[in-house]
Amino acid sequence: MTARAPPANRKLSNMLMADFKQCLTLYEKKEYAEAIKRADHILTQKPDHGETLAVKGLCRYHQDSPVEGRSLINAGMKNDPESYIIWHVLALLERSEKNYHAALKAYQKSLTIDPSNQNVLRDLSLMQIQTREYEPLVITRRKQLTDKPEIRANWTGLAVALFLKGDYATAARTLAAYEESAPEKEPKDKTQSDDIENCELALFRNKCLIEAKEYDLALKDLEELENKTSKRHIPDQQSILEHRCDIYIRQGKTKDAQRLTRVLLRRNPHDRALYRQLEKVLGIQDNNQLKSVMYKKLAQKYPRSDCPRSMPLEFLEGQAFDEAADAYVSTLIHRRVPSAFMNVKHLYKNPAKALSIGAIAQRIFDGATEDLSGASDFLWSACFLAQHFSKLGDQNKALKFIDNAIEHTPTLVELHLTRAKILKRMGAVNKGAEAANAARELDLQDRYLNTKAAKYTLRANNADDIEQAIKLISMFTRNDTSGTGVQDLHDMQGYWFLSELARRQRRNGDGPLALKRHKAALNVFSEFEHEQLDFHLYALRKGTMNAYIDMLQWEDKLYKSKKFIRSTRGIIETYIALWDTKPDCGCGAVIPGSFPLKAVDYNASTTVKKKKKKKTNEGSAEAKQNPNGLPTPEHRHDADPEGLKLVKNVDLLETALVHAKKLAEVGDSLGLVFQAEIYLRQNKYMLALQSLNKLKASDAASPYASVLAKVAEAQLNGDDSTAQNLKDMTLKMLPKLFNETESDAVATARLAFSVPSYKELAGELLKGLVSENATAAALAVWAANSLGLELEDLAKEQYPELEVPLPN
Amino acid sequence: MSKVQLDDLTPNNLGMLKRINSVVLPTSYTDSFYTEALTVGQLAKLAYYNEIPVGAIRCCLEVAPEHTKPSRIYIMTIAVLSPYRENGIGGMLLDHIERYAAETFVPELSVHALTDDTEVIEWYKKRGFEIVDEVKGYYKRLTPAKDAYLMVKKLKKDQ
Repeated sequence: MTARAPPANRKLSNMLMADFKQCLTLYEKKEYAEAIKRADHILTQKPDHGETLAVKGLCRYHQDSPVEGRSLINAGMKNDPESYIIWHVLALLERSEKNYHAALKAYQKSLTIDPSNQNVLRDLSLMQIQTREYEPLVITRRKQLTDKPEIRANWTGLAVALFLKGDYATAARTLAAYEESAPEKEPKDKTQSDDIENCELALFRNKCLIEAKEYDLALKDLEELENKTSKRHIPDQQSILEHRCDIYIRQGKTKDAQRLTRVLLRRNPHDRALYRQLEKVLGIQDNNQLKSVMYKKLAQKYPRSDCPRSMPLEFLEGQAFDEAADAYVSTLIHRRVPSAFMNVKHLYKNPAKALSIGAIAQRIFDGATEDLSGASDFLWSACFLAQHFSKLGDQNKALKFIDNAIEHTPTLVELHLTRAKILKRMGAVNKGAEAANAARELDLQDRYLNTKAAKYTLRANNADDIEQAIKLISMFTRNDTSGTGVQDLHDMQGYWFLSELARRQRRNGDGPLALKRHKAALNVFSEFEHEQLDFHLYALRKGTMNAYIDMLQWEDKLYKSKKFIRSTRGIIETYIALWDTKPDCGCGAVIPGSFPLKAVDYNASTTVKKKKKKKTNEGSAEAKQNPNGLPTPEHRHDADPEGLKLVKNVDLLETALVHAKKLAEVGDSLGLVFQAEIYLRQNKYMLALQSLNKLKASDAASPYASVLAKVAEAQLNGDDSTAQNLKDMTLKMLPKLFNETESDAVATARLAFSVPSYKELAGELLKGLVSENATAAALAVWAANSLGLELEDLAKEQYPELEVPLPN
Repeated sequence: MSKVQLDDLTPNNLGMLKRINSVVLPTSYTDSFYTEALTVGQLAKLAYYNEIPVGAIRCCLEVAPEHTKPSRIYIMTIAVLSPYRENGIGGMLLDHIERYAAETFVPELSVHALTDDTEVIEWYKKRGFEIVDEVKGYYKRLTPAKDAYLMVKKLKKDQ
């Protein structure tokens, strides 16, 4: 394709051209105001000059006027749709907006007009990695290499692209070709970082060879790498050994693999994976007797390692287990290891093992005197037994042990933390928070204790918990922007805090604020995704491909994280509940009614409040309090302190749907269920049915989903009475759907609240929740209260210490 | 190495002093007693057994009227958790104060003890304290108010 003649309106006089060039330079220097001045100067003479309009738009965008910026770029595009500059500008805008697919398209368009632009070519490759378009990435990288073969990063860049695409052999050949063509530095000119880079490169090529199943070549390379320099100069011995071992395993050379695994084990006897690997290369995974011998020998060889002592507990049974557990657990207790119980907790899946472990601790406890000589055994076995009985569900007995120990030595922080956990499990959440705080007060410099105390406070039931918790965490954060640490925990990606705060706000019935916090928690994950962008170039320049590829693989699993799923579920649930609470929702929903949420004033103007705030911010420290008495953490930049912008003029269901689709995308089956719930509320029965059919196909269909499907079918057939009956059935099932107990209560209450005819049924469901555990019981009582039902007595029968959440 | 070690009082472990005093001693102390404890330097110490705080001492300097130099160190509180007693932990705390007194040329130590607490009185006597005065109703906060002996230990000049 030959380039078309530029449109008449693109041409600038020499004078104006100079201005335009200066405008571009100023933009690159981020002097946006100056750049806009130049642009305006050009536009007074050529008001329809597309490229100038676009550059001005980009400057306006960076001056915090995104809407104006985009419309200026669009106007420019309309005037001159064939300008590579304008497409490039559009790409930069989309990239800043994190619309990587749109940016990719714009870069491509720019490149078809001006195929030789190296910057655009480079940026295109970044977008292709960011969006995981590996096939076209290889083409882009190959073009970069052909254009500039003298740059090393272009060779490794192509190799990385080929590796990601799965073409390992070509990747290895590319790297070999580079090494042949590149001049080797004289040894005397070599720096340490050269050594590291060369080793990294060699290891990467080795990885390619291994994946390409070129084992002999790979081994030869490793040998060469070891011989090339004296051992002292190979920066990454460990990786060389690991590669070699990996090759032997893949080749089935078990003798060599065994030998190398043992070498690796000697280097790090604390790596559990290596012990498993040794079992495997010895071919004894399924032979408990031989495994037991192996671990015994290794335990003698590595007396300081925990692995050979704890790992056999997983497969040993009966008397052999009792003996091994006795040796292991009593050592932990005698040595006063605070995490002793955590080390064996996973064995409690097996009731016989749990009993055996409890008996060991009991024996130490019985044998310990309470005076000085026995104090340590007494304390740590009592602490262990408290955790043991708590885990087995006998909270009263657990509490006796821990209280006894605290009376003996009230200055041991671990005892207070254990007590807090037991109280929480009894439902005494307020007392639990007090106990966690007592632990914190004993050692104010311990951040772990501070974190625990804040978390327990957020889960307690006092009116000022949120304030208290913020005060606590602020002792360990930077508070210079707002007087509290909430902003800092956003910046530091303190996920635990954001998500706990969101759940508490939800429980407080504050929908918009809960959404805001959930969003902030999710933002932690999208930041992880966006920040990859910085590394695509950096890793190639620094030559750290191995860590870089590990990072990309980690990023690919990012959104499958339980934390991401939990926060996304929280957002969807809150949006649906908000919709159900809206007075004009029409209640075409399958599940009418809602979990107690405070009414949201969708017409409230945020601007008035903002003005008021600005005024107070200039004043004293009291300015940090909003009208509710809560600190407004991000007041400096926060245009939406109450989260109202997330719900005002927002299609609640559509927004929930976006999140539900993402949830389904990462493999959480609730995503499809939520989609169906949303579609049913939108009267889109066909789509609801499709979501549920997908769920059925994925083999994870719940009974709840199949009832939902029948509702959709009945609605489609216009069979209202069947639909109604089925809706009744869904009510019975919904609570079973959620794995998190909190959601159980939330869901039950949501569906029963404000629907008088369902009250009785809801009562039954909530009664069922009471017997689950203390946390569920507390929420059930609370939900029942909002229905005008009385469950407190029943719950108190089972959990005498239960502290019920305050009504909103 | 000994299992018992002394350590300074800091704002971060002040809670330990509070906790030990509150479970061992019959009287309770004001917040200012504790905040001021941070200003007395070596005159307040925690004793750790296996890295757990089990004992504490907190003293102050007394300057007699018309004197400029401190005339004695007064022991305000000394406490060891009951399971850890009779193992020399209290003695270690006291020795530390005595050493400090010698280094800073303070001639004597003093302390108040309940008149009916023979165990404590014997403990101090064994360590060179002598009863010099009886103060009626010294422990006002106890109900009923109790009497106290003022006990003093004179330190040898050449120490």
